[in-house]
Amino acid sequence: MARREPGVTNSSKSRLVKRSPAEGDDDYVSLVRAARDGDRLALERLLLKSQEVAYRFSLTVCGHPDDAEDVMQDALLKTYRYVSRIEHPEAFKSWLYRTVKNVCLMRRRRRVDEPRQLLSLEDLVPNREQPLGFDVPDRGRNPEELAVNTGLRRRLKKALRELPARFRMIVFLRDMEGLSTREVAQVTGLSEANVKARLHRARLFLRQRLELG
Amino acid sequence: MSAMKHAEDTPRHCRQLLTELLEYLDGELTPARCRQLERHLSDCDCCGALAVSTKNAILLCRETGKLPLPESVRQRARRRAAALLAKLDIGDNVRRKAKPVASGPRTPKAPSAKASRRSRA
Repeated sequence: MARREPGVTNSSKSRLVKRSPAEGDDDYVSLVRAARDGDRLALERLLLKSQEVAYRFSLTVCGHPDDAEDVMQDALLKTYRYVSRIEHPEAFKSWLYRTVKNVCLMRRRRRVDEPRQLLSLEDLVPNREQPLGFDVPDRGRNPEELAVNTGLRRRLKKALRELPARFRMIVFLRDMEGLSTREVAQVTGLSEANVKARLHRARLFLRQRLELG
Repeated sequence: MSAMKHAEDTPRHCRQLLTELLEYLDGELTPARCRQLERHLSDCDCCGALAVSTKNAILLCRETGKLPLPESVRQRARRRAAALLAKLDIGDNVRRKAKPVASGPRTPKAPSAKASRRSRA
């Protein structure tokens, strides 16, 4: 029989993960339009955003803090050059993530200990004796919840490091950065079906690691 | 726990539904399939808890992704952007100053001292 942590019931929360519609998309499009038309503030914000994406990508996916600053610099320059000649502002977001990914991969030094194994669904499916359940307090309103979330984040960081890079990139783009499946496919060059398959395995892997602690 | 143990312990029906869990959590299942899966999730403790904890893992990723960058990193990013924009301003000023000479109307050149002496002679 599966055991659940106190406070986690099937009925206590909706199981569907609601995603705010096209989070950040409009922001990018309007910023790119304004920057292209000569709005200096918009250009500055865009240059900051591109560096932030570069930093998060570099740290989460590649795990090389030393490279992060160089990747940010590259993202800054490439964004500036691209914005002045962009025809379709809607394409900017995918372009930015694709560019940052390429810059990161170019700089990435292969590490001997980097996990390269496939994730087997068989290993990720829970059995009936395994403890199940952990809760993420919604935005951590009080110190106790904040502490729970901080502990969970530390476990998530560790779990992400154990996840093979090609799965980690999908989780980062889809679940951490909020890109749609289509956008992830555009950035990675995979089919949408392939993105979904990898995402599924990666999420199950993270769930398992978060539960086991 | 070995992979075989998992496979034996998880009923075939549950494993088939598991493949739909991702679409379900992302709200991409048809209403009919959604109802069917929800019925199973409330009947089966194992799958129900799996759905809840997978959803929690996704929420944790989302929340972590929204955390602001360290202030020192943000400051460096701001400085870098400001430096680039300042360089562009200098470039613009140089171009603006150079522009009237480069593309302005042609004006007759003032004769040089040497040319004036030659014409007088």
